[in-house]
Amino acid sequence: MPEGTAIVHVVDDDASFLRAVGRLLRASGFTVKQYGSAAEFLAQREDGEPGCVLADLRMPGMNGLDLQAALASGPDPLPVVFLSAHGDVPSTVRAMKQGAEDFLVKQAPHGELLAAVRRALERDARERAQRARRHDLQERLALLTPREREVLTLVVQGKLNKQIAGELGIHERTVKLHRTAITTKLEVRSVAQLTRLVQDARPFPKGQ
Amino acid sequence: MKAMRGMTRARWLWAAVAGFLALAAALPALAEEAPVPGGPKRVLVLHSFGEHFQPFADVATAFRSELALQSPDEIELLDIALGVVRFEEGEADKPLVDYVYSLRTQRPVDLIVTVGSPAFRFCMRHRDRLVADVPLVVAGIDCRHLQGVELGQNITAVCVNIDLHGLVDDILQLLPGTANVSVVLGSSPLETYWAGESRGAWQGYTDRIAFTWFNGLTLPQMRERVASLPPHSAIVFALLDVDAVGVPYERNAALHALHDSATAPIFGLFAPELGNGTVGGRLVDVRGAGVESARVAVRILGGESPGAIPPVIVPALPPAFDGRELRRWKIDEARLPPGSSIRFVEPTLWQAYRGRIIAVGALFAAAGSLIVMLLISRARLRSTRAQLGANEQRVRELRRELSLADRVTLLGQFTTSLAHELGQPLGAILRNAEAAELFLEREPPDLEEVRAILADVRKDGERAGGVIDRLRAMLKRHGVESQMLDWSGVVDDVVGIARGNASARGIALEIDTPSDLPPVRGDRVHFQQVLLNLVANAIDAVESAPGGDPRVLVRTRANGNGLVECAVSDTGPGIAPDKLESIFEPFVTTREQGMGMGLPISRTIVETHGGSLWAESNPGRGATFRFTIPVSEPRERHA
Repeated sequence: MPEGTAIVHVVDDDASFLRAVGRLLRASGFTVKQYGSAAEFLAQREDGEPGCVLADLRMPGMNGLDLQAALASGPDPLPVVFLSAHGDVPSTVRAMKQGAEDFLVKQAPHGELLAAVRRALERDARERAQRARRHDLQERLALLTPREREVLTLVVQGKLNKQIAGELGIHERTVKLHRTAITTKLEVRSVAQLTRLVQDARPFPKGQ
Repeated sequence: MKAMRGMTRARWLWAAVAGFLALAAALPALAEEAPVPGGPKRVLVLHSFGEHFQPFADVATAFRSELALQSPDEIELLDIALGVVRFEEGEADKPLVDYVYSLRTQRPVDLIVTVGSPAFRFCMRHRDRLVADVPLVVAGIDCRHLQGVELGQNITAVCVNIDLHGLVDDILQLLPGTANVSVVLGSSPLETYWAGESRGAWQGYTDRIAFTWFNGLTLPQMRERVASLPPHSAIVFALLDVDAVGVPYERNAALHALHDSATAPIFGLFAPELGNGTVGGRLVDVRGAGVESARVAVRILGGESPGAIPPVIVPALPPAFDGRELRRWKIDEARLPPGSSIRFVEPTLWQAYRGRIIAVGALFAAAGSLIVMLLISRARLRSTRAQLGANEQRVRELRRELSLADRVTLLGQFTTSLAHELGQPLGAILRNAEAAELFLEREPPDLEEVRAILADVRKDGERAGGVIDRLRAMLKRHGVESQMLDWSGVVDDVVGIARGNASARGIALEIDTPSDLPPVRGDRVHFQQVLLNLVANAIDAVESAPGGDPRVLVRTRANGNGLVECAVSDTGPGIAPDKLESIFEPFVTTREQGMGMGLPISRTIVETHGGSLWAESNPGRGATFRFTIPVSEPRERHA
């Protein structure tokens, strides 16, 4: 099971339902933390912890959709599975548009609930790995000098050394030297690898 | 409020009775009053029917205005409608004669005018008492009625010639293929007279045309007849003031009603009918008859002897036609008799004359362009007016739809909050039960946890029960406000909302409501919700089972036990026998998006109103949901 250290955060203002769903998830092998409100969850959560959120859509104060928006704009987002006492179409649409992992009514079959939580955790693990790789790539890109960044941008656009030299007003041999420096710093061997790396690292680090 | 209104009415009645008694007491005092020299001339107008029956009403109106215009003296008009002669002549005369006679004696009159032949014949029957010493002008009458009547020194007449031959000749001129003519005539003695007269006059056409006389029919029966005429038919609108069951029709009401249903052109006799649905022809100059009568009246009031004034015959008007009718019945303008004028021409037709207008404009450039401009602005004004009318209609429709939409939204919100309140505890119970199963499967079972779960389940069960209790209480509270309902109105509203949805999915949505359904008692909004829910379910069911004859029928009957029974039947897949009862339990649904709350809520509503709701499988296919509603007590109906 991928849940290992991952935590399922259950947020619901209905204490009875919160306890019930917490029990069910624990009995099914998940690590669970429970919160009576969105604010309580945001105050207690620790950055960098893998997991997902199972939140009631309708809550006093900050509701489920607000919580989702707050998480998505922060540095360490978590996938959110919404629960609702009933399916109401406009909220469902809004939640799914904002990137909700899933949307279930509270009486949804047991299997569907567990599957949704599992999918959310898998998505979190996947996105977490992507974020880590991007972070690593961006650190490496930060090692390049401003001139090397310029050359890299043109290489990735598929330009030949001669064209790059013409465009930047430098000698073709200097371009070759910059390219060697770039491949060494970024630890790649081919233009194909280079292109992929730049794509994965998006957004391109600032300072250009 | 009601009591107060009742009291006001009683008081008014007493005032009227008291006033009448005072008037009766004052009458003898007036008896000796003599005409004041230089005072107003008194003219007593005797109307044949009421004052608003055509064509007589237009004769009288033209008479009054022309008389006021022409008379050098002030005129005081006394109107008496001899309404009773529209039923029968002679038998009921006596009180009328007494009334006219006493009025005449109390307030001496200078002239009597009869409008229409029944009033004329009434005066002739009682000539000695009514017109022995007062001049009489006979107006609004066909010259035929004067034949063989000795008018004498005191009477003269202004008459018209209704050209029965000319009418049929005109029809054949315009529509040479005409083989059937339906003659619209009422059933009063005057109208019966004209039935006989026209039968005789048209004897010579019977080899070409089959005539059908409508006297003896009611207006609705006539409407049915004119709606299904064979090809090559024409309708003659002769006179319809009283139909076979004695219903009177004032103004052009009958003509308009027939025009709406007619499948053949209508030819009339009288000028005022043109523009109200008749095609036209050589029409009787009704206004002219009134004007001529006024001129004769002025002469008599000025001192001339009626006997010295020969009867005036008012000629028919030059042929005139309604352009809209000509277009509607595709009558070629080339076939119109020479000298015909076309009226009521719509803008599209005047465009056809634009060439002529421009030619005139070339000769009289300035004046011509002014005319064109005026015509254009008139056409614009007319089309703007028509558009305004259409817009207003649309706005009214939208407003009605909106008010319905409002109600439905309210119902939706109510259902939503209910679903939320029930969803919380029921969801918790479900999750707890699932958790409990898992804890019991453990080795050893976690009984401590299971015990905590059971305590929570119990609390949530009570919570859900509380929601249901509140719903019941709320419905009961609303029940107090229950009102008398016209059930067919409720059905029409709901079907109106659902119809668009049904027809978009190719499903026929039909209503079967008897017209004599007794009123029921209940909350309109609640019943709309129940019916809308059942109809929506039925539409979904039909759509889920494609096949021939996709249909939903809303049928209502009074079942005789003080209940009205409404049934919503569909041609969907039907309901398994073991599900007929369980579908009324919360969260049981056959639909993908269903909450399973509609039927339980509907049943609660119906039961709160003292009825019941159940489901049946149809013998063929599909299902029927039936519910009953108590009939409103007669005692309440009058309250």
